[in-house]
Amino acid sequence: MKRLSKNTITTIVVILVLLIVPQVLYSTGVITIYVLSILMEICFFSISALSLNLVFGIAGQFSLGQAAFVGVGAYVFGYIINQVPSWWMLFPALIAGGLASAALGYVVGLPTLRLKGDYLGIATLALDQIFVVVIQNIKAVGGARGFLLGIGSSFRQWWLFFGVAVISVWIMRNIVYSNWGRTMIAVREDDIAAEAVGIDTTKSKIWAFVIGSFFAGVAGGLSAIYSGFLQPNSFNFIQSFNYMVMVIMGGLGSLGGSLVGAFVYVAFLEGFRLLKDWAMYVPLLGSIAQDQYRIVFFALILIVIMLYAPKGIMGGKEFAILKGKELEKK
Amino acid sequence: MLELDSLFVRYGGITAVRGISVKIDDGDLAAIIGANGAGKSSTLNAIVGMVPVAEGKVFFDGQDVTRTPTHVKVRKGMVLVPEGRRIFPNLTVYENLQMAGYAVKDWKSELDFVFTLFPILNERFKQSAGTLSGGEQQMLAIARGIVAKPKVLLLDEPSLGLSPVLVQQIMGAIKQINQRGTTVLLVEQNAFAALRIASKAFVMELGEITLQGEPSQIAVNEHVRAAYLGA
Repeated sequence: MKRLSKNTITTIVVILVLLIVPQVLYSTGVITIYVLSILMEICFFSISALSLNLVFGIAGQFSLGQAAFVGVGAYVFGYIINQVPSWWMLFPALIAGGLASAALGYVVGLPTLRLKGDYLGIATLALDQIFVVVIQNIKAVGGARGFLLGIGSSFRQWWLFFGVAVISVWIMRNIVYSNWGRTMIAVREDDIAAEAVGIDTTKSKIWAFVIGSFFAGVAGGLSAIYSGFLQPNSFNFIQSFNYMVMVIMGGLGSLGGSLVGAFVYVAFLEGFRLLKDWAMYVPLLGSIAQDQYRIVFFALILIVIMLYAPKGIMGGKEFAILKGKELEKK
Repeated sequence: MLELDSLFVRYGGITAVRGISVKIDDGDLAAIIGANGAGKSSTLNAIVGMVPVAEGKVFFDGQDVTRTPTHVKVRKGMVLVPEGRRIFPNLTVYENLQMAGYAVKDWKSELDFVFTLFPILNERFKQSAGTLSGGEQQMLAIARGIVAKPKVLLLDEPSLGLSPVLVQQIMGAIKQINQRGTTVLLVEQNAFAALRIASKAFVMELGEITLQGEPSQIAVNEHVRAAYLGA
């Protein structure tokens, strides 16, 4: 048997620790369900941020419609699991959500990926708007009122969120370091040169879009389990921008960056709730409704990060456990 | 080997290439020279399929490849080194070459030749391509063309923005690539440099080929001398 490399062992240890520790802490009452929920949220935001990173950071296709793909996944998952609310249906439903999203990605990508940069951004933004309006008018899924998943909170398990996130990240990592991923990177770097070295740039872009959509859909399924309730507006363009924020804040093109981005995004937004008691004494902030002041703080943090780390928190670097094979020397 | 049969290229209402017919034989080092806007780059881009051919035909190895997509042509052995280098700036030199080997089997077999031709690339192996100097980037662009194992290598203005010494070095390398058995079609504004290495030359003006023949004869042609050689 091949001996495991040091890197592989580290990876397995890190994964096991992250899988077990939060669950143990929760079961023993050290952390509340609130903290565990935040961790779950980080898991599915990580998947959706990484899926957008694949499209934008790796393949260079500026997409502002990621929330639509997350939404399709969430709704397809929700609809299926409501028909058959049982454990054995869980994974098929998650994958079905992903596949539905991927199919939409293909259909939408075929015409729109001819567009570049801002134009593609506008087209995908429009896709998201269309998605929201369409869902608002489908009675079977509750229209604008949204609908309740009949599964209660039984599926809200840490191992499920973390497990799906690990598998998704692992698959996307392998795609990025495969030949496919390399062609996507070449297209991002210079599509004319990519075409000139024999890469089918159209195919490469569409694959990036389809794979990105698939994982966005899977993340959508998890988000449906998480909230237990689906509403079209939670998948509007603001959410697309949030994913964009996570990806850029973490570091465009860096896999670890998207995970850090999702973590920082959720951690700061939730963490600022703790400041609630004194926020009301700050001039202006005190008059901002409810806990909306969090958004103000977060925006400030974002500006600071972008000023001091313009390439994102990871700055194009990568965690050792997410790295590809070292270059072979000539 | 490569044959253009009354090729037209149009951009909207503008006709950039007006029915040119060119025949390049196996082993040729053909040069198309001409001023800015003569249609040289359009011709090259039309051959590889980066811009659509409006009228006429492109034959490669006896096959009609007029409508064949660029990436398929690369696999058939027709490789373009595009104008302005267009290396992948955030990838290393090695990764750039690796990308170029995407379409071929056993791409590493050409690396030895590449490194004898441009030893500097071996030194810069792990450096990101965007940090190379202009000359080094052009070398990398040509190296990328070699790694793809072309039967015919098309070069668009490889001397663009390079110092005279570097132009000489690049032209010398192109000559060596040709001597190794690769057919070359070179498009150049630097007529003097191109005519020195070419085995066949075409002069292009306003989308038409106005003169063709032996480079030595073209170099002494009064009109060409006045227009391009500054004499």
